[in-house]
Amino acid sequence: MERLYQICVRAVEMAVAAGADEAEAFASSGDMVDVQLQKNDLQLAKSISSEGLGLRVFREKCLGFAFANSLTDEALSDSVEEALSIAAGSPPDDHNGLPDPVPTQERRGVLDPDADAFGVEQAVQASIDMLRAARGFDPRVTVDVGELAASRGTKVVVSSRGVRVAEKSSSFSCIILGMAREGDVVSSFDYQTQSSRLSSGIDPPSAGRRFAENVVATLGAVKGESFEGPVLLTPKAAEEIISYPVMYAARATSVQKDMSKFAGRLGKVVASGSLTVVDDSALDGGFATTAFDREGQSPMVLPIIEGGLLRNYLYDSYTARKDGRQSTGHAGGGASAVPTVSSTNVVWSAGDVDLESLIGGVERGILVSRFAGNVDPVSGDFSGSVKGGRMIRSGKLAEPLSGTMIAGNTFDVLSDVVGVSRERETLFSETIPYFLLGRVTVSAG
Amino acid sequence: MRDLLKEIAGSTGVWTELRVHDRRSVGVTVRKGVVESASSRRIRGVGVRVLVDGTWGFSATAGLERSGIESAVRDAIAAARRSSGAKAKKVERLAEGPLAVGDFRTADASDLRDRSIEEKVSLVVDTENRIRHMSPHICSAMCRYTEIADDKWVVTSDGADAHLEDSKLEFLGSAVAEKDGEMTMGWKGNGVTGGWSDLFSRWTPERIADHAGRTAVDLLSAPYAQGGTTRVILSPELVGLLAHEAVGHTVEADLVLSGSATSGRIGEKVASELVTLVDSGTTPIGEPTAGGIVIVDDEGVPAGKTVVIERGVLRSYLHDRETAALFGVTPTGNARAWHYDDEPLIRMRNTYIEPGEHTLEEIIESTDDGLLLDGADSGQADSNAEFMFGVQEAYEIKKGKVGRLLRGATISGDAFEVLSSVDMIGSDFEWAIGSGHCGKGQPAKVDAGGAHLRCTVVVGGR
Repeated sequence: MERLYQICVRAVEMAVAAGADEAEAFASSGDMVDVQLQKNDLQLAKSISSEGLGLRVFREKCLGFAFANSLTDEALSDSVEEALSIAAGSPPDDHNGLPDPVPTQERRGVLDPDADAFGVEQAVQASIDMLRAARGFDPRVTVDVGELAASRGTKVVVSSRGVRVAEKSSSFSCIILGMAREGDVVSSFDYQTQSSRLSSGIDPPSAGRRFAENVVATLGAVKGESFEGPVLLTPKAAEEIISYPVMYAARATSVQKDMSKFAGRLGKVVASGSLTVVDDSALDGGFATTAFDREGQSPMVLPIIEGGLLRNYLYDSYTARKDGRQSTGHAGGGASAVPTVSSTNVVWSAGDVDLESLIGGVERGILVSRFAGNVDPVSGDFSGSVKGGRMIRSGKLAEPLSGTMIAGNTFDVLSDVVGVSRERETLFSETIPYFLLGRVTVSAG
Repeated sequence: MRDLLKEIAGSTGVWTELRVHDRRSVGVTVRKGVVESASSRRIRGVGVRVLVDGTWGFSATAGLERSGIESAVRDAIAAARRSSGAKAKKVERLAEGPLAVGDFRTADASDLRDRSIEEKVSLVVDTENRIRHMSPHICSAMCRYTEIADDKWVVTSDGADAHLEDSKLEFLGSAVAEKDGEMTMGWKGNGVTGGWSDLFSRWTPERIADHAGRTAVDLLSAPYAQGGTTRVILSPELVGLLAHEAVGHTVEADLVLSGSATSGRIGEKVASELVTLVDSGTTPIGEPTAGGIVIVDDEGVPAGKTVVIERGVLRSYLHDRETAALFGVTPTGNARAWHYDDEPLIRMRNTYIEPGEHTLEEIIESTDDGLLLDGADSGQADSNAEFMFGVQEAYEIKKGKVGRLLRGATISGDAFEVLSSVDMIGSDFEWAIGSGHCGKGQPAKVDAGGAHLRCTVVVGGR
C-alpha cells in the first residue's frame, strides 16, 4: 500500500509541477485468480497481477484525464503530458475541481484475512464443485460457461487538495450459466451468481444446484397468452426493470441533464408506500462497501425512496458543486476513467408477505424469472422477452413459457407494486425482493 | 520485440502463445454542453497462454522486458499444471492450418495524426450543441468520439509470427426529447476501421446529429406499437443485428459444443434459400471500412471469409484452433482478445446477410399489412436462438404504403424461424452496427449489416 501511495503522491507532484492547478491520482493494484468453465468442463485457469493509475488534472477550470497500466516514472510522465494536453484542448467549466479531504471511516468486512491463501487450486476446486452440483442434479443440464473469480487489491486516492486515503479489499464471486437440453428441445437460459467479500461467503455448489433446477423447470415451455395482468418479478428481473431505472433516475447527473423522471420530485410520492430503497455504503460485508468513493469522499448512507417518497439524489463533487451543496460521496468508477455518479450497495426493503403467499394471491398472471429486453432508464419504458417464465394460475406456478414478452413503464409500475416479498436475494451489490406488479401488458406470439 | 518473443516462446518446452498488445485510446464525451470526459488511455502488456498436459493456463504482465514475460510464462504454466487434474477432457491438439507471418495493417489511419485533441473535443462539443438546439423539445443531448489504436505482436511456439496494426474509430450522437412528461430517445452511431476521413465519409457529424434529434422529436408524438406476430421489413441495421445476435452467437463453436440451437445441424436447411449469411474478417462486400475488420486473429490465424449459411443451409461454425481441431476443420480466424490480459475467445468480426435483387420500394409495395423497422436499440439472444431487439422507429405499412410512426417496439422470435420466413431481400447493402461493442465476457469491436429484407417476427408493444 505504501508503494502505491508514494507513486500517487509523485504523480500529483509531477502534474502540479508541469502546470496543473489541481491534480488527483487514483491508483489500484491487485492479484486475481480466475477459473473458467466451458462446455461442462474446466476451460482455463488464469493468474494475473495488475496495476494502474488514473490522473485527473485541472488547469484554469479545464479537465484532462489520462490512464496507464504502468507505474514507472516514464509512464507517469506520459500521463501528465497527455492529461495536460487534453485539458489545454477542452473548454472550461466553472464547476470543475477537486473536493477537500474529509474524514473517512474504515469499513468492516471488506477484506478476507485469508484472501492470500485462496489460489488457483482453491478456485479450481470450488468451480468444479459448482459444475458437479449442476450436472449431478439432472443429466439434461448443460453448462455453457461458469466462472469463479477471487481477487484482492488496494486502491489509493491522493490529491493536491490533501486527500490521502487507501483501502485494501477482497472479492469472491461465482457464476454459472447454461440451459437444459432434451433431444431437440432446449430450455430457456438461466444463470446464477453469488458474490461476497469473503471466500466463506459464497457457496458455489448451491449456485450450481439452483441454476440446474431453474433450467430443468423451463423444459417443455409453451407459447403463452396475451393479456394485461399481474406480473411477479424475481429479484433478477426486478434488478433490470425496477432497480436499474430507479437508481439511474436518482443520480444527480441524470437530474441535472434532464434525463431523470425524479427531477423536481424530492419529498414527493414516486412509488407505492410499500417501497423503500437505501444506498448503503457501510453495509457490513457488502460487495460495494467502501470507506471512500472515487474522489476520496466518505459515502453517506442514504434512503433514496422511503415509504414511496423520494428522499435523496446521489452526488459526486462536480454535481454537488452545480447544486451548491456537499457531495454525498457517490463518485464511482475505477482508475481507468474519470469519476461518474454511482450507487454503492442498493438495498430494497423486504416486504411482509412470503413468496408463496404472493403467488397464492394471483388468479392469472406470469412469473418473470429473467428479463431480456430494453429498459430505457430515461423514459422508464421497458419491453422485452420473458425468460424462464411461468404462468401463474389459481395461485400456483403452472406451465413454463416461451415466446412471451412484457412491456410497460418503470415509473408507472412503481405505483402499481401490489406486493413485496419477505424473501430477498443479493446480486452482487444489490439486495432485492420479489415484486408483484398489478397490471402489465403481456404479449405472446 | 519479435526476436525476444520468438526466443521465449521457443524455450518453454510447452505450446506457448505470446501476445504483446499496446493499445492507445482517446475518448471524448459531451453531454448537455459539458465535457463529461476527455481522456487518454494506454494499456499495454503481454498475455501469455500455454497448453500443458492438455490444459490451458493464462497469465499476463504489464512489463515488456524479458524478466516480466518469463515470469508470466512461469505463472501460466503453474496455473495449467494446478488445474490439469480437474480437467476431464484434455485438449489433444490444436488445428493445423496457415499461421500468419509478417506485418499486417487493417487500414491507413495516418490522417488521424493530423487531428489534435483540441479539434476532436471541439467537434464533439459542436455536434452535441447542434443536437440540443434542433428543437425546443430536446432537453438533453450527448455526443461521443472514441478512437482505438492497436499495435500487437502474436507469436506462438508453432510458427505464428505476426505484427498487427489496427485503428477503429466511432462517433455517436443521442438526444432526449420531452413533452408533457413523456420522454423519448433517438440516437445514431457509426464505427469504422480506418482513419478520420473514413469515419465521416458517409455519416458526417451533421447527419448523425440530425438523425438523433429528429428521431427523438418525432417519437414524442408517435403512438405505441401493438404487439403480435407481424410481417416486417428490417433495415440494414436490424438485419445486421439479427445476423450477429440471433444467429452469429449460436454458431460460435464454443457455444455449439455447449449445446446451442445449431449443434449437430451442419448440412441442414435452417433458413430461406434466399439467405446466405457470412462472417468475415475482411469486407468482401460494401464499404471497405467495416468496424469489425480483423486480418489476423489473436492466435495468429488469418481471418478470412466464413460462409455460415449458404442459400439457407448451415455450412460452418466459427472456430478457434481448439474447436477447429475438435470438428476436424481449418481454423476460421475468430479468436479475439480485448486487452493484453484477456484470453482469446471465439468472437465474430463482420457478420452479414448477402443482398438480393429488390429495391426497398418493391418490398414495401408488395407488403399489404406490416411494419417497416429501423434503428436498433440493445439486443440480446440465447443459445437456443431466441432473440429480442429494441427498435427505435416502426412505421406502419398498409396496402403497400408507409404510414405513421410508432414507438416502443421490440421484436423477438426464434432466429431460424425468422430466417425461414424471409421472402424478399433488397439490394441496398450497408454496414450498420460498427459503433458500440459485442459483449461476451469481454468487449469486441464488430460490425454487421445487410440490405432491407422482409420476414415475420413477434413484435412487442404496449
